[in-house]
Amino acid sequence: MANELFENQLNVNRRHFLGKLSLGLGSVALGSLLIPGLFTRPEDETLATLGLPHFAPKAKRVIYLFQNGAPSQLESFDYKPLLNKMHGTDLPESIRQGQRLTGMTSGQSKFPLVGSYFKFQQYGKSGAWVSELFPQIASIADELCFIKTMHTEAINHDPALTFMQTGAQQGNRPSMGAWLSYGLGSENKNLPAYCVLLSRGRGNGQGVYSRLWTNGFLDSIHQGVQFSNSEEAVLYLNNPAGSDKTSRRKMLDNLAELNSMSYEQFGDPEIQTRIQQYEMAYRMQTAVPELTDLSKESDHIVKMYGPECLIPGTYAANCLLARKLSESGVRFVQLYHQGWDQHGNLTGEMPLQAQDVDRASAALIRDLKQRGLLDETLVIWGGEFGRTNYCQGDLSDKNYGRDHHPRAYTIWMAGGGIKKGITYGETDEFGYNVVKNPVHVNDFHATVLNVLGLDHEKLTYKHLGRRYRLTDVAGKVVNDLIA
Amino acid sequence: MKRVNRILANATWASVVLLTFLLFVEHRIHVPVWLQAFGRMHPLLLHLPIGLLLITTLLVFVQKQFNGKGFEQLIPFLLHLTAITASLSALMGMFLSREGGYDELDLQLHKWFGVATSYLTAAVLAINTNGRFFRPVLAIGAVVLIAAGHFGSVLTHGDAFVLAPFQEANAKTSAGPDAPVFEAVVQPIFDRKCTSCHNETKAKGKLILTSYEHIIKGGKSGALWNDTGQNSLLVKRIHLPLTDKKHMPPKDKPQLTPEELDFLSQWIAQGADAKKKLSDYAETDSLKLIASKLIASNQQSTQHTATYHFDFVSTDMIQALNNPYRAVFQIAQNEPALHVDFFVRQAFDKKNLAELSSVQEQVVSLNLSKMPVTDADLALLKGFKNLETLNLNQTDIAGAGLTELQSLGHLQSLSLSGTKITRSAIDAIKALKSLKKVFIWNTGITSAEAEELKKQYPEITWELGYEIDHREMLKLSAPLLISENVVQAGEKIRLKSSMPGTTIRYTTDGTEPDSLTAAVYTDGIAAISYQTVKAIAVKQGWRKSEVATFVIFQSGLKPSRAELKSLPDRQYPGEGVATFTNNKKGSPEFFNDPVWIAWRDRTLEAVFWFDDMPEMHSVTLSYAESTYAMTWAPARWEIWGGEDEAHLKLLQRGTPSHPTALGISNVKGIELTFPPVRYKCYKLIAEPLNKQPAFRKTKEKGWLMVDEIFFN
Repeated sequence: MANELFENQLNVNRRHFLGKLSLGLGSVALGSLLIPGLFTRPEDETLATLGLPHFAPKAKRVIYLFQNGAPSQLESFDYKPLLNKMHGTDLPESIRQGQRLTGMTSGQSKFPLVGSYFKFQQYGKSGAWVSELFPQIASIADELCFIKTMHTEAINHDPALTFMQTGAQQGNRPSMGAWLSYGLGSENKNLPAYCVLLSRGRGNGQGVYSRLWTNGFLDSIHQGVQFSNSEEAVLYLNNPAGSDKTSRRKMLDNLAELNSMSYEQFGDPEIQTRIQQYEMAYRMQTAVPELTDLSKESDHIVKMYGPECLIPGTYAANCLLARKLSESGVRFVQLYHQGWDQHGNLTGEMPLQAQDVDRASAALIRDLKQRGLLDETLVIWGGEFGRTNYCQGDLSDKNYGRDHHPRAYTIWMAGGGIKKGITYGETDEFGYNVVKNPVHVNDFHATVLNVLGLDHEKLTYKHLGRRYRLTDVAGKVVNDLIA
Repeated sequence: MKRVNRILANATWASVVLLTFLLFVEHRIHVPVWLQAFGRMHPLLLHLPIGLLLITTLLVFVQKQFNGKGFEQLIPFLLHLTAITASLSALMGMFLSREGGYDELDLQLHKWFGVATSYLTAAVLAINTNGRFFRPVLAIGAVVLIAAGHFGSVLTHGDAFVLAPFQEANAKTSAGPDAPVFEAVVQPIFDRKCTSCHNETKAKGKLILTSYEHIIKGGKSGALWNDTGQNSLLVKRIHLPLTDKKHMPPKDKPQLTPEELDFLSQWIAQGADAKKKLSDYAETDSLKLIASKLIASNQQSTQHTATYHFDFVSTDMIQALNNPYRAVFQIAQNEPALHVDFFVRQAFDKKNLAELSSVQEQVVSLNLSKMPVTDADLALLKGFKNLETLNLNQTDIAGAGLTELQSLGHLQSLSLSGTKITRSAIDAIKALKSLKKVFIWNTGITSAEAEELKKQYPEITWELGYEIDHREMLKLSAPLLISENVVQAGEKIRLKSSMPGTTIRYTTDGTEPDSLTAAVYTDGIAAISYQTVKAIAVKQGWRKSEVATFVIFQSGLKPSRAELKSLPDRQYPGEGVATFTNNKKGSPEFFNDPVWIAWRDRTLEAVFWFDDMPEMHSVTLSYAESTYAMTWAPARWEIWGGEDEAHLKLLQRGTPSHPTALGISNVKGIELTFPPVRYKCYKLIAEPLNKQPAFRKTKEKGWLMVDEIFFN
């Protein structure tokens, strides 16, 4: 045996080695012919495909009515009569199963269940349950798709809000609107593709901050443009007193020339962005005043949205403005309405909040519908997480509070590409856990992108050595929601 | 022979290397057509290594029976042939598998056993034929080969092919000659979603769904259903979650729609009667309802998956058509269809529309809303024969031009909201056979006429818009303050209501204004040093607004300089003494704002100099009252005046009242008035509320938060 091995080693000489090596390499070379584009530099496929949906979209635009602070699902759309029956009794451990609490209730020795103070009723052919706080939304229930099983990973406002908007809890990632602007491009070059409208409610509020509409690592042209709450919706848009359109044009031309020179010198793509932004701002001088002029709205519209729609900076006015922006081809209109954080005094604050948003939210859907725009616009209504089924603080007959609950909450969607008059998913009788068809925030993002004709796995941007997505490394399209 | 063996050895080496390489890059391979043909010869070639390896193994084990001279060389020769054919078969198999349509698990098993066979036969060549490893390795090779062959046959013939005749004997029943529901609904569902894999030639899982006879036989897991309608295998499989491996159809294939799912489950639950006709079911039977829906949708399904088959427009052409006021873009990367938008009414020119004629075949969606398009201009749209969605909202058309649209045979949605269109013009759309939705909100068409239209064209959805309830009385929004809440002396307080035609009524004495007697606001309210204005808006046909309360301060006299005589609290230093007189008002929610300056343990003491000694009769302190944040009006406060700091005398003192229950946070004012004086130096002293009201149940000291002090 040793002898054989020795002989074998003698046979494997340099000639033998080189011969076999070249033959092997030849084989590999032959095999490589089957791999197309092996020796060409891999083109960044994402760049080539930008600005157009991957497949035929069902909706062209999004209006996101963000209810900031997390409205209680248990007083709005997730009807849980068992909670009323068990009012005041402790949340069974079999339901909570040691789930984490926020710092605000972790000190509580008891977790008394609390049923909704407001009555529920079924509406429409779909039989959707809606509380008495939202009579107008209830009346359009057959247009809506309720998702009762949204769940998120964060338990506090800032990370949850950031997660909902950017797909990551830490910030610095592009937000949904920025991704859409990046993936679909702008439809109307006279307006930003991504607009942000803020309003304050009358309940306990939580902050909103510009990183929620950031472009993150994307080109800054995709950043959300925040509209002001004042009479002048876009600040500093008008020409200064004494300066006319011609001189403004001349100034911009000269400025663009200087900027181009600077671009040639430094090659910073942000300079190009800046030139484009100046041009867009110039065109916005014509487009914006027409949009934000509320004085010409007919009585019909004012009655639909409610009289607040004539006061800039209210939720109703923002809904009306959102419709106008969307009608003018703005891809993503993001509203935030603050004041939904009812840790205490829920029965006092929630009716005020509901009053602020109910009529205007429903009016937006109706208004889009009567213009034929609902078929191509996706409207989303919801917060960043839900609220607990047990009481925070003192429980009295007439008042109570609810803490943050990330494990299940309700949002609704309506419009292009989404099934009408359905309720998706189910929570348990306690409204605590999801029992059927959970929808994670990543799944929600994947679904929204899908409706807009984008494959969430293909919409990527290479940054710091890896490709990022809105859904990061997760997310499944919920096909059951898509019409 | 030696030379032949050497050549064969090289060929074996080359093919094994090639196979190894391709295994590593399998996912990136693109198989050209001619190689597909090569791959399809896999079932032919694979029999060679099988035969060769088996005969070689046999020969090795019966070696002693031979003593021919060439035998020593024959074995390597055969092994070389085996190795080459084995790796070639494996390569072909790999190409064939790229065509898809095989059961993933069986395919993987077959692949790796096949690859193992070719490696083992190659490995056996490197072993001396007389060594002690030779025979065992050869035997293992033969066993692996048999396993590879077995899984290969499962792929093509299905499981238990050989034994099937024994099982089939008693499963022969024939379906009725006509089985309407089955034929009208069930079979079409199978044809759409199942038979691409479950047909006579492919028969995945030994299940064939192309005809009733085959269907009732079931597959390798058994029958699809039984007579009781319970525990049907088919119903179970189609309801498994998508992620389950046994879910059917497989997750990357088209899925059953909810209706199809419903129908199959109900039909099987009712016993899967293949003979029952649609008319045999009761009118209210949900099965019948779903069936009719499905039959209808079968007929329409061609439009539902609207993929466009006309030519793509070049990107250059699209680029050329785009400008800031006209957006032209493909609806998706894989669709040649175009969407066109027009923006900015002032920039519109008829020419812009006419220029689209070069892409008129491709435009499926056109948005002209708000453009000054007239009836005559609609003639420009004649050639857009693939147009599906046309938005003419708020254009200048009156209806006469609708006749120009008659050639748009694919038009599905027409938006006319906000135009002057009338009932008589509408009939022009009669020719549009594909039309499904027409939007006629806010047009010349009355609701009675719309009802008539609905009857006349039942296949079209007429959207008349949301009708407001005129009896419903909505509450007006409260008046707004448009002047600042600090007004300069002589300036008026100005209010506004956003709704045209409303009247504002107000009071300044703290009482609630009513809608009949309270003062009517006209062009401003005269300011005094400090006052609370309460206002409501009223209008015919609307409910009066809630009361808006504004606290207005008047900033009269400016001190020449000022000085703090006691330090503010370290947490809220504000901007020092300047905080008092910078006219910056704070919000009661954000005390970290340096417009606020606060005292708690010490008493506020500040001195103000007025060098030109103006006449003064009042001082107003603006402070925050928040029962939650524990900030209150001072317990007591005083204003002193004199020539200088050493010669001051008390002008006025006050002991403000404090809330007695929790309430909302507010910025409030308190005023001390005194007979007019002219001094150079004034001193203000205010003591924080050390003992908070009893309802607060705390021993902590209260805060005094001040944002401004006004002299008048």
